Amino acid sequence: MPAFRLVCPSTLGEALAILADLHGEIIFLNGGTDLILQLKEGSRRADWLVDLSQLDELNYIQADRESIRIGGTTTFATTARSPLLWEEARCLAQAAAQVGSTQIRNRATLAGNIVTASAAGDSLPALLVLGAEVGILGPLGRRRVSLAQFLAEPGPALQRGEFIAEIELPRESGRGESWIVSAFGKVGSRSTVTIARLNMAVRLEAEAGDGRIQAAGVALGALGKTPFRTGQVERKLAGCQFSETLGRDLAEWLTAVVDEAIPGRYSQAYKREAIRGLAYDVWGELLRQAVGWKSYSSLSEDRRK
Amino acid sequence: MELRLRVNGIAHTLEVEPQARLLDVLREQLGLTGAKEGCGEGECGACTVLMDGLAVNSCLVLAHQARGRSITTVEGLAAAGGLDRLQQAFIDQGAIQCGYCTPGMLMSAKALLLAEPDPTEEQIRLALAGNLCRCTGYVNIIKAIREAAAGEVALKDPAAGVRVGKAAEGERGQELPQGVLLGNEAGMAESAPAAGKVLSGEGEAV
Repeated sequence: MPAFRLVCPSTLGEALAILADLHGEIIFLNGGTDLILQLKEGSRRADWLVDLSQLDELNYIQADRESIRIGGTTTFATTARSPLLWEEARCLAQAAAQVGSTQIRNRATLAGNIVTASAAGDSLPALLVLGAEVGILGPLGRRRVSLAQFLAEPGPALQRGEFIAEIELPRESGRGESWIVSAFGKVGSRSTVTIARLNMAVRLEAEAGDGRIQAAGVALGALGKTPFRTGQVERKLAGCQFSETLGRDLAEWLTAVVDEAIPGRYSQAYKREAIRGLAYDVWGELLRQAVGWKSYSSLSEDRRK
Repeated sequence: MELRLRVNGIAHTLEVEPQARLLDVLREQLGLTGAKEGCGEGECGACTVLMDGLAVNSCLVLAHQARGRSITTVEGLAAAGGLDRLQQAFIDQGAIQCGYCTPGMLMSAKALLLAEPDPTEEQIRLALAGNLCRCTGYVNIIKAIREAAAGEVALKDPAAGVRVGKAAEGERGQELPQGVLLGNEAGMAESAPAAGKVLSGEGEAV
């Protein structure tokens, strides 16, 4: 491994204070599951490594009335175990549970997944449909950007000395009589411990009365440089009634999105088919969640009659 | 750079390069060669050790990231002078062929049983998803872990009376402290009664 010097702050205050004294290039180390390999193979170098992994102050999942906040050193294992996230941000808990292996999930963090910003990063589509914001700390203080903006940044999204301290998910204000479901799915070369060839998250907000979709979020990964939300599909879903057959329409619409996203790419032929299966999987999961909603169950009973 | 950590119950103070990985320190500085470097990139799990009771790939952890932590390697499982129930079950079930993946398999299985003493087969498969074996086909490994778990459950609740193979027959388990050498962090105390007393003391080694 190329030489670097290492600092290991044990508090956030210490970490911020140290930064002022470091000259040269700085890289922040968190779970290290990607970075240590990059350092080893020499694709990344730095004068200083600042290890954030033991900052317990940033290891949390908390909620208040407006938002759920996930600290920058929170691992995927912790994220995947959170009852709060399973309840309110299920697509994120599902994505976290499918990242790498147990060993990887015990180290790798949500913040690290965002900084790495891999096209196939599993947490990213989930965070996009949840409208995540990224809380950044650095020498100039605190700032916040939407994840969508963070990922769209053409250059490095973080300035020198900046790191992700927190991920914030807006909490449902409980718009009267509406209900919310979300789900994540991925396709890879094996069933677990696999890098996604395609991944997807869907979030729906629907009226409790007639199951009409008020707002939809659909995000796709591994279809270009960065995961993205597909506004055209979201707009088509809005206003439709949530049903099994709508899943078939979704599969059609997504095939068109694949054709637009990677025209002529060798993987296009595979992905335009694979996304249909993925759409059915994710839609099936949403339907299962919706069974819990009285209005939807009675709705489907009506239809059977 | 000075590094303090606890390995298999023994506190160490070592001089360690910033670049060294936990795996390098275990194998080269402490002579604990149970953890293996297979792929060196977190795919194969042959380097799996426990860090505060959780399975991690020691090839993807810088040694200094383990500062103040308790590490358990496969050597720590057998440290009491006898084999851990899991190790015995691996032998009884023929879950070992070339043996290269075995230390990692054992540590992933140990982490699972610490968190979930009576796992389903699905839970066992998921816990081992990050450990590759090119010999056994996994079937006997899964059997061995089921056997070890059944033995442990039977020990805690003799009325349950589950008996699977030799390793579940009681006495052996009783003479071995289960979950030895896990240190005292992260709520592991419950799973590791008396381990500290038996083995570690506060001895500074190396």
